[in-house]
Amino acid sequence: MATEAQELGLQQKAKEAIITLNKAAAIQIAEQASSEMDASKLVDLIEGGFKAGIMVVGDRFAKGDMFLPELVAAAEIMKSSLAILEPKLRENQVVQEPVGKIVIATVKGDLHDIGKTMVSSLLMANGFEVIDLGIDVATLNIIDAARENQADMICLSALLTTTIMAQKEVVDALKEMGHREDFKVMIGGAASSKNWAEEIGADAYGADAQEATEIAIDLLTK
Amino acid sequence: MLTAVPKMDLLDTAAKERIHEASLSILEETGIQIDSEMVANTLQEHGIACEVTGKQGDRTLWRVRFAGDTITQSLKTAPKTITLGGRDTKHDLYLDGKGSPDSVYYGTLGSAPVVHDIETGERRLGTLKDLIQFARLTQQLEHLDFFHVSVMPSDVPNSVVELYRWKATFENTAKHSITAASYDARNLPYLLEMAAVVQGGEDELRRRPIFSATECPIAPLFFAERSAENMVGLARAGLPVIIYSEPFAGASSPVTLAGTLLVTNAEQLAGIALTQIANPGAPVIYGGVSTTMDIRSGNISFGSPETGLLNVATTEMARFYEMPKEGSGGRTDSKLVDCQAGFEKQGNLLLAVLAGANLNNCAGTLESNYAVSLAQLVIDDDIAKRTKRILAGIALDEETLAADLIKEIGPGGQYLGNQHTLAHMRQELCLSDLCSKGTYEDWAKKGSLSLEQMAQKKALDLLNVSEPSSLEPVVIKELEKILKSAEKAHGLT
Repeated sequence: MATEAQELGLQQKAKEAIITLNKAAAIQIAEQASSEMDASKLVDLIEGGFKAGIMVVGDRFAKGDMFLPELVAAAEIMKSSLAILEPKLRENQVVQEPVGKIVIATVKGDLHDIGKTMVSSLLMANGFEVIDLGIDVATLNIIDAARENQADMICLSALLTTTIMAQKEVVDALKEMGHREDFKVMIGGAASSKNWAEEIGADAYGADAQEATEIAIDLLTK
Repeated sequence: MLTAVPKMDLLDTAAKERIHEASLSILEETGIQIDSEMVANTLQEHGIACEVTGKQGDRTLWRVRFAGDTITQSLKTAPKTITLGGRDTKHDLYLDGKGSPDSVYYGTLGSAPVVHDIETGERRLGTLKDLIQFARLTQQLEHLDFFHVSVMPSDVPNSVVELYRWKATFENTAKHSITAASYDARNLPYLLEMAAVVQGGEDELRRRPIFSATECPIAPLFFAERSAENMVGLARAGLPVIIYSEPFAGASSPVTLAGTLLVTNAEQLAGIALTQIANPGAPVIYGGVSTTMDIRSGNISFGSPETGLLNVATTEMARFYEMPKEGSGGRTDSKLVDCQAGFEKQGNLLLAVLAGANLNNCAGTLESNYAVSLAQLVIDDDIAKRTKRILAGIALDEETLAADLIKEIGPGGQYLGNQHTLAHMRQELCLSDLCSKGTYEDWAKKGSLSLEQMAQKKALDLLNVSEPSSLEPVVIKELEKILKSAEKAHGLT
C-alpha cells in the first residue's frame, strides 16, 4: 500500500498529467492507483488529482490561456482515466458525489456532434458528471437515460432550424410523463434561442459552452 | 484591346495533383458514410458496393468506397459550363470552369435565423416579411447577380418552411436563387413544380434553371439522408446541385489548411460522383466553403484570413477539374456593421475573386452568417462594385496609355476637362454611392452620416420604390395552389 506522501505525489502527478494533456501518464497513474491504492483513497486521487487538473484547464480556458481543442482533449483524458478507476470504485461501493449529473444529447434527426462535445467538455471541466448520449437521440431514449442515471439536468442540442422541434418534443414528453419537475432542461445549438427556450418551457438556453456551463452552475449548485 | 487582369495563383500543378491523388486514396480506402436507402440502392444499381456498418437510431449506415475510375468518369461527364437562369434572360449567369473574369458573380447568403431590424435596430428572429424585403432589395441592387435565400423565417410552419421560402423568393426577385432545395425529401417535388411554373415548363426549367440547390455533406465525409437524396433527386431532374462542403478546420477537419482542403476536395469528388452516377452530365457545381474554428470560443470563423486562403485553394481545385465553383466570398464574424465587417468581407472576397470563384455568396450577412442586415446588404453591393472594378484590371492600348496626350500636355499642364478625360473617366473610375470621398465640410453639410446610416437610408429609399411583385398574377396563384397542396399533404390545413 502506498504511503500518504506517495498518495499526495500521485495526486500531484495526475493533476499535472491532465494540465499538460499527457494521456499516457494519466492512464499509467490510473492503472497504478487501481492496482496499488485502497478504494477509499481513489476518491482523493480523483478529487485532488484528475478533477483538480481539469478545473485548472477550465480556468485557463476561461482566461483565454488554453484553447477549446485542449479543453476537449483534457476532458477525454480524464474520462479514460476515470474509466480505469471505475470498476474498483464500484466493487467497493465507493460513491462519488459530483457537483451535478447532466445527460446531454443532440436531438432526434440532427447529426451534429461538435457543439455538444464542446459543452460536455466544459461541463466536465467544472466538476459535473456528464452522460453524453451522442447524436440523433430519440426523445424517449433521452428521458430514459436521465431517469436511469438520476440526472439533475437534461441538455439538448440542435443545430438545424428543422430539428429544434425535437427539443420541444422532449419537454412536452417530460410534462406528459409527469417528470418535468425531476430535471432542469437547457437547450442550445445554432438554431435554438432564448425565445425558443421560453416558448417550449425549457429552463434555460446556453448560447455557447461558456454560457451553458455558467447556467448549469447557477441552476444546479446555487 | 489588351487588358491586364489581376489573378491569384497559390497552388502549383504538382500540389493540385497531390491533393487530387490523396482525395482518391481517401475515397477508395475510407470512403463516405451514407444513411439513405434510396441513395444506397441507386449506387448499388450502378455496381458501387455499399457496406452496412451499423445503425444510427433506426437508420442503417452504409460505407461507400469509390474506385478511382468511378471518380475519373464522373469528372469527365460533369459539365464544364453551366447556365443558371434568372426569371428573364438578362439575369442569366454563365458559369465556366475556367473562372474567367466575366464568369465571376456576386450574391447574398443567409438562411440566417436572426435579422438586424433596419428601422428599430433590434436583433430579432427573422420573418417571411424580412425574406421578402431581402429579395426585393437584392433585386434592386445593381452589383448583386444572384439571391441566396437570406432569411430562415420563424413565422411559417416548420414542416414546409422551404416551400414558403422558395415561393417568396420566386415572387420577389427575378434573379437566380440558391439555397438548400428542401429539408424534407417529401417537399422536393413541390419545389420542382413551383420552379417549372415560374420558368414556363420543365424543359425551360432545365435549360435555364431558376434555382440551384446547395446540398451539404456533414464534414467529415458523411452524406446524410436528406442532402444525399436531394443530390440524387435533383441530378435525375437535370437541375443544378452545389456540393456544399463546409468543414471547419480543427473541428470537423484537420486544423491544418492542407488537411481541410483535402477533406473538402474528397467530399466534392464524392458528391460529384453521386450526381453523375444518378444522371451522367447533370449540372453540378464545386462548392467548397471551408473555414476555420475560432479555437477560443469554438465558433466558426468565416472572417479569418485562413478562410480566405482556403477559398483560393478550393477554387483552384475546381479550376483543376475545370468545374464551376461556388465559394464563401467575403463573410464576417462581426456582430455589427463596422470596420471588422468591412475588412473581413473585402479581404476574403478579393482573394476568392482573384482565384476566379464563379459564385461568391456573402452579401448581407453578419455574425458568421447567423444574422443578416439590410444595411450590410447595401454596403456589400458597394463592395461587389469595387471588387468588380479591381477584377476588370488595367486596359492597356495606345488610347489608354495616352503617350501622345502626355507629350502634348507636357510638364506642368493639366488634364481636367480634356477630351481624353471626358471620354474615359466613367469606365476607368469606380464611384461609390456610400463612401465619403469629398471634403470634411461637404460631408458635415450633408448630415455627417456614418457609412451604416448612409446604407440604411439607401436601403429604405430603394424598398419604398420596390414593386410588390413582378411575377404574373396567374403564376402567383399557381404557386399558392402548390403550397396549399403541400400543406395539405403535411396535414396542416
